[in-house]
Amino acid sequence: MKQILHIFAKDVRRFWPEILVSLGVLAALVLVCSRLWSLPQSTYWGRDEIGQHTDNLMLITQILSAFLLVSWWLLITRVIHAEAPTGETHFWITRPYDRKLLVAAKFFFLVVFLYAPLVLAQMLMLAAAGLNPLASIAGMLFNLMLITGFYVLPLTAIATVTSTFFRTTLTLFCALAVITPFAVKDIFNPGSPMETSLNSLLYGGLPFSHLLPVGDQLSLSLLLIAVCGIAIVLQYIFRRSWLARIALLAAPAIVCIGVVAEAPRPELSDRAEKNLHYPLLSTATAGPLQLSDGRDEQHPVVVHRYPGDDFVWVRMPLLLSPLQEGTAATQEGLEVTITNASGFSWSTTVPGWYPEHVLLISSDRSGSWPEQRRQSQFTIPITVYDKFKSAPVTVHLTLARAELQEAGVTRIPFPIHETFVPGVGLCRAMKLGYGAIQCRSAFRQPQLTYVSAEWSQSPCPAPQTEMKEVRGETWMGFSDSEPADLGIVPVQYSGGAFMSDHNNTTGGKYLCTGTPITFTQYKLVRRTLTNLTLQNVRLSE
Amino acid sequence: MNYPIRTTNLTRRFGRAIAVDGVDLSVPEGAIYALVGANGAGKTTLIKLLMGILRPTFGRCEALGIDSRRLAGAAFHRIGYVSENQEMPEGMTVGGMLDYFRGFYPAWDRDLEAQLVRQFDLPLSRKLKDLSRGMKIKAAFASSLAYRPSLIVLDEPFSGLDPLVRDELIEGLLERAQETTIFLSSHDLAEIESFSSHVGYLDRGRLLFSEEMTVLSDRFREVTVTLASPAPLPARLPATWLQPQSADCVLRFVHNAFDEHATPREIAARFPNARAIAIDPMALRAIFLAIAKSNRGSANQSPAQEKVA
Repeated sequence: MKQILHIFAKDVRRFWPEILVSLGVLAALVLVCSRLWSLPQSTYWGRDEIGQHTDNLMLITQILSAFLLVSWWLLITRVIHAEAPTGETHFWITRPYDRKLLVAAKFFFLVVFLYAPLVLAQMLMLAAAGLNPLASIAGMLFNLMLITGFYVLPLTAIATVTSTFFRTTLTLFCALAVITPFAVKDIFNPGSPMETSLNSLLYGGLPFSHLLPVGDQLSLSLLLIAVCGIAIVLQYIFRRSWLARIALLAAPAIVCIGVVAEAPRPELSDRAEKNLHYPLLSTATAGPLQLSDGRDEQHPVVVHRYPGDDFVWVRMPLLLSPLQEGTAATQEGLEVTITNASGFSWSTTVPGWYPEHVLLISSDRSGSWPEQRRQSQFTIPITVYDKFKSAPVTVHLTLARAELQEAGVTRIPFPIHETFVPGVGLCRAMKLGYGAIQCRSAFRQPQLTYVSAEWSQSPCPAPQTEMKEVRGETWMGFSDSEPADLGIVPVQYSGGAFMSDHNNTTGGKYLCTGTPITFTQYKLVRRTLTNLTLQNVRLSE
Repeated sequence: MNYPIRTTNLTRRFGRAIAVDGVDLSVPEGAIYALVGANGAGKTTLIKLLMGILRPTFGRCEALGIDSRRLAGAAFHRIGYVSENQEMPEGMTVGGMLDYFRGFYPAWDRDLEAQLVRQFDLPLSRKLKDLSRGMKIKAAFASSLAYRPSLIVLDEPFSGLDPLVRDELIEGLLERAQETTIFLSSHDLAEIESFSSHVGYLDRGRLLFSEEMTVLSDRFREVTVTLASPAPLPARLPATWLQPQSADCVLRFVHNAFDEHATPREIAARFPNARAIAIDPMALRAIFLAIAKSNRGSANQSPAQEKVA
């Protein structure tokens, strides 16, 4: 312990400028976030001065988050290279250093000047956001583990196997260069981790914080911790530089595999992933939700081409069996294979989860879809469509779906001013448009939550004659539940505007004072795959 | 007798290149051992193997009885190491560095530290990165002597230093010589000749000899034979006669196994008509040059030589 403190004290004396920079950036981040969350709610989505101010603060939050990462990178690299484990000429290798204690001293330094300030800052940020820090200890620890796996340990390991700051930087950029193509590909993939990542930026998240699949953050971070830990041990304890470097090469490979796999919301074209995450059920055990051909005279297959598009939209009617009360189902992916009479075949995938892909919720909340009829929609390139439009074709649908179970219901009368909703977070409802809900939660978005409210068709508080129940609804959160998402700012935003799937809604849509807003949380029961083959389908506009 | 340094068939390869080739070496306790050799001979590699910085490809080496592969941590309480290529904690002041190192050594002698600081005229408040090369080496010496190590290993410590600094360092080193074993490498023979007790010669990774300095000086002689008439270089000269040269009536060579009684008789028997035979002691520099040239010539050995030393 004496040697640990001795090395630690030396590092503090030597690297106080780097420490001050890191702490300064973190302090600034806390201040900016606190200011951001203290802004008046009514102007949050507005285009007025406060709205502009909010946008500016969010941008500053993102910049400070990035600066914080850079300051950590500098701090870690400098501290590790003070006794660089590689090379043959460093003074310390012929001094009475105990290598294990040296590693311990470096991690003690990181605990004191990286982790402890971060924990303190996150608690302050949570408190400033109106959330109870002590209620989020599990999330905080999980988040620290993710930060360790995705940032701190990889940076430490790279610094460990390189001898200079320049080489560390070069190695880091090489690793990013390997990962980036996968990430860029992913940006354009709706619902993918990268796309989610970009969305998270809008809410003060961390760049690339959602690069990796939400549900797989734990396993991937543990893998990275293991790989980086092995590299560090090989280098520090066994002095095997090349073995350590080879071990470390596995890290970007793991990240790439993780990004490509996108588990547990894989592209259905990846058969291995599909089989892993969406087991195909037999007819006998097909679960509560049954799908069948929904075509009839009133509900034909709709093919539509918007002017200027080089593809057509196809909307395929499906019939869904009723669900048991308190359950719901979502479509997490769709694979379509179309074959014409001459044997020509074409396939497409619709990956990711969208709120509009909610297939069905149980009867007590299924007023929007009384007919239990849904459409699966996809696009076909116009060049391909030309081969299918003249004669009937066979359409094979493979639906990846998630079955969900109601986990809790909370009703709060409108308007909601910063009210804590159990299991969700601190929520507020606004009169913007037809009404909107926005929630702040600690470290992660809530479990998949269905939020609904009854609209009035007349302006409030006018008497409601000829009341016709019309429900505004929105979804937020994810069905994949982990205690935290990767990020420095511990507050996650979720929510959306109330919408309706009903086309026959006439009159106004007003949220009146006293109207209950219902939050229904769902937990994932299982994921399954359903195949459905539709014969004799006419794809004509 | 104790041997603070001992190697057995010590070999280190870098790919196909052999940097150290089967070196067997024993350095007795209390010796000031100078390992000499040309640039690229393998001196630094051998020292790195000794210090556990590199691992042997074959063979074994020990420092203070510890296998160099396990040389770490507390073992360095008794070993001082200074190298011309050593990276110092440049961001520290000299005083800060001494303060820092002090915490690692239970036997650190603060009085000796103060004495060394005075002796080497070290500027305690200046950062190492701002010091001249000579000052840096002096600071490294001070930080490696202040805990009275049992073994001091120095890799080309005087290389590129001005004579004044070199003399200061040698003086500081010799003051500690009685309580320690010193092992140093150098390619400058003149700088080690005055104070080394033992010497080893490394050439292309091979240790050509390793012995006490006095024995070496006694063993080598420059022989000049003046013949009655001009004669070519005789064929098949003994292997102990290095660098034979003839010009007119004069034949010169280096005898590497001089014996006060036998050698004059051996030469006289070989050259019965010699008018004069002069046998002169040699400076260390001359001895090494003769050995080095003989070895380089051995690759394309002339028929006049049987073999090299």
